[in-house]
Amino acid sequence: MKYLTSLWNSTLIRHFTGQTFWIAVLYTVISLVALPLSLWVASSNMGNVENMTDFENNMVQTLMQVNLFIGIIFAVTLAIFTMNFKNSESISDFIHSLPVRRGSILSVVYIVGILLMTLPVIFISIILMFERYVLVFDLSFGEIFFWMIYTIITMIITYILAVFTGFFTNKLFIHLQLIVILFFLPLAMWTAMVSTASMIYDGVAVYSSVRGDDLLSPIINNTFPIFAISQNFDNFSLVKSVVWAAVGIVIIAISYFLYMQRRNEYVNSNFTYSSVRYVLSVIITILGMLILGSVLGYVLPGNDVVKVISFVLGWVGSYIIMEMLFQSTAKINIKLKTVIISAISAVIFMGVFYAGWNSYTSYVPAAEDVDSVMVYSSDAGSSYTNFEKQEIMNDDYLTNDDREFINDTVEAHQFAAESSIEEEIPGYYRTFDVAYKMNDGSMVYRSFNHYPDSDEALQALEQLDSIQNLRTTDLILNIEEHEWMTNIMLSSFAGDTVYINGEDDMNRFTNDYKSTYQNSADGSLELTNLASQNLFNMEIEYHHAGNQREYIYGNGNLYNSAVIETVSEEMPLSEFLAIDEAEEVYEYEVINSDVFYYDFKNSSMEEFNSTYDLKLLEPDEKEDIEEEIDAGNLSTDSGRVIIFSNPYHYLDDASNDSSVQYTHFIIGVE
Amino acid sequence: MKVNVRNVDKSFGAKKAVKNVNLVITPGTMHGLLGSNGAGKTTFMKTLMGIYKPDSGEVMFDGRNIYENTGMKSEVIFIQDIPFFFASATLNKMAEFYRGIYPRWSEKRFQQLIRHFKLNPNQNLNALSKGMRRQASFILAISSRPKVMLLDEPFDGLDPIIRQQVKNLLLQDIAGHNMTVIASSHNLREMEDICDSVSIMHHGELLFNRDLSEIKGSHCKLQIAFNKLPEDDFFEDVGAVHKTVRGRIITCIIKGDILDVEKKVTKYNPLMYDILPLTLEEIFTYEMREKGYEISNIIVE
Repeated sequence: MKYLTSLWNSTLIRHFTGQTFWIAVLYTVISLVALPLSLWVASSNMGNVENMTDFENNMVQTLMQVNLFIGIIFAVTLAIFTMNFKNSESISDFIHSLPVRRGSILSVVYIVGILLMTLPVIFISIILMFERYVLVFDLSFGEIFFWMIYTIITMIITYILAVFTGFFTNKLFIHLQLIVILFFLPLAMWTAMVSTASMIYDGVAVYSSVRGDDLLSPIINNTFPIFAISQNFDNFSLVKSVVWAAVGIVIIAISYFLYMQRRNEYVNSNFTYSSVRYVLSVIITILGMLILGSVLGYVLPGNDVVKVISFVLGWVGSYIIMEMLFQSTAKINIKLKTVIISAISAVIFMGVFYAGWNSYTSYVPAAEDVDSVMVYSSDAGSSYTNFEKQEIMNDDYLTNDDREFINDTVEAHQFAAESSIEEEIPGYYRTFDVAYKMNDGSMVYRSFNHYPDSDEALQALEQLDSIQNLRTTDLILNIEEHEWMTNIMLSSFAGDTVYINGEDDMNRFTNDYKSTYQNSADGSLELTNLASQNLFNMEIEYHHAGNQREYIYGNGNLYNSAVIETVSEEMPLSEFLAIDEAEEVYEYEVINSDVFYYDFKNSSMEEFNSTYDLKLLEPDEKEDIEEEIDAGNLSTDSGRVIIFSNPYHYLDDASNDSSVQYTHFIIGVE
Repeated sequence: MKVNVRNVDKSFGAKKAVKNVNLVITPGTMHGLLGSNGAGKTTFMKTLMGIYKPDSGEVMFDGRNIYENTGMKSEVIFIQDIPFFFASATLNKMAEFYRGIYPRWSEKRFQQLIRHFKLNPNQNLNALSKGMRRQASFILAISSRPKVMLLDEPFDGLDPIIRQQVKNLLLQDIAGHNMTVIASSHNLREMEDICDSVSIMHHGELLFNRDLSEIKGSHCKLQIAFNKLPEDDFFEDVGAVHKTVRGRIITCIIKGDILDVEKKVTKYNPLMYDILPLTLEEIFTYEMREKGYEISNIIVE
């Protein structure tokens, strides 16, 4: 007797293949366009591309990434249509009346899916193998082979997960919903929670400026389709891939179990397991409540009562939408039991939500438990960078383990955490981002948008400016691997950039910068910091084996002689700093620096000028000053400063009260 | 193949669709499962086929359980009330599928049946009329040479000529290959001439299960006319279990030794009399009334 025990049933395989064959053909055609044809077209136009390496790294990787995305969509589509046999009573009854075990049917589903996903990818790979000889840029066998294997495995895992979700529903549309839920519910839920919390509380590190770490990244980086596609583009993580492959194997085993337990008589029910439906409806209603409640709360800003009303309305809207989706009809049937379960769950959730985030935002670690700290504030302790722990930088970059600095940071953090400002205030921003590395190795991140403006709080923030912290946040000073650099860029706020490239020039600049650093940092910290924050920054471009080109931008010291000399070789320093375009240029001799710079940061120009009676320079005096600056006579310790208006700052009514630091720049001269 | 159903229950949530059904069907016979819409016939048929797993009890074919038993299922075929064919499938395509699935498939029989029913084997089956689709389903099922055929409302949509042809084909296979057929229907008269045994299902319960030859051998209908109506001892004497009197004409159902009825009747000097076999409806009317049911409430047609 045929196929009684075998998992291979050629009749069923032919049947299932025939049912989904044209989807595979469609995928193959789209894939051909997305990869081999696009590469060929790009190669034909390569005469216009100057940088081959960039093209190879970006274009090929991007096209492969796009192709993988298409492959994931195909895998999901294939799974939905292959599993569609169980969604209709007539075909379900027919298939299950056949002398074929359920295990065999499911095996056929997997075999057909894997065949229809594998063959087109192999076909495309073979084309690429030949095409690579006619491409003007390099496309190695290894890259093609990696793409082929990785794409096949990713599509198979996607297919396995999509097939698995099919056992929880008997409707194609709901199957699609469940796939989206399986892949993205944790991410959507966490994002909604964090976003809502950040709207209600100040201190939530949704996007942290320090180290690039934040609350969302861990979930984003481990969400399967996102991680799978970005991994193809970036570095390959064997551990993550093995974990997901293991998940795939476990899911296959569970799928066989679920199919064995499946009861055909419920084929006309939308959901196979009512408990799953209840749980999902509760979670998705809460998710919708957070999203709709946040949107309503944003559109209708108000007090706590308005917030509560917003979330209640969000819950009602979300519940109706969710029921429409799960019942696959606009004419929904509302059951009192599910309404009550959902409402009670939402109330309990919001209770835990408020308590949890309140505890999170008010937490300040004890200084003695902190190993090191990184701070970014718009006012002090600056270190604005996209740095994410690349190997090119030394371990101390941005990490300050000075006990005094840690104490000062904790003190400033305490002010931020105890601030009564709990919500967004338009126009009021004084950021304070902090990342602690604790003694046990764990990290604590907090990000405040509304640091309090009391004298005590601002004084605590001022303490964070120190020469020691200046060193830890300096980009050039902390470069570890000089030989990986391909470019150093010195940029002014005006948009002028001076490039340093060539190994000798870069090494010379880096060595000079490091050797003269102490001299340049000896003077006023305030002047150096204000230049770093508002006037000048640096960027390095680098790459090493296996990596594409990467960039890090960060702080640099404008007063460093290496910077002054390098910029001066390219253009006049006054032009680089846009002093020549400034409408107003003032000169002043600073006596009481603490008060002076405090006022500079916190007073409007009108108040500041009336306090200090700045000397407005006449045109000929301005030219003299520009000549001095062009001669490289910048200094942080002379006490003489030049304050000039920001030529790109456009005054409007709302910004009349902006502090001087936002409307004017300040530099120290000899 | 002997079919033995023991204490089978099947529920849909809180609703019990099949309640403690016991049924034995002799090999090489045709059994009619009768009942109104919603009686539980289709659920019971799908449980027999192993599409549904019984909540309790067991469905045995020659002593073997059918649920997830591929060996057993390859000898049993089920035709749904609305025959199923794959999208865009032709008879030839479906035959190719059945050929790969059912090991006893007969290509010769298939070709014979195509010629017999004059169906175009390359025509899209889903574009055919209801009756033609049903003919196609019979062609495929009969060509698969099953030992047991389960038919849900099998003659629905067939014209009288085709209906008779199908019945003949089934009877041929029953006689020639000892095939067992279980056919459900809500039409009592339709099953009358071909079933060897019948059962009635109502609200998930099997109310009645009898061998028709046994009933017909022990029951008959007597229509008799008198000048003067006899006393009550007449009915007792002839073994009447049910009677209707219109004027001087009596119609009664007689149970017992029907060969002796004529002798007993003539003793009462009737003007005329006629002894007739019972129709299925009359048997049910009598039997169901005994159980306290009105047959018209159970079987509509």
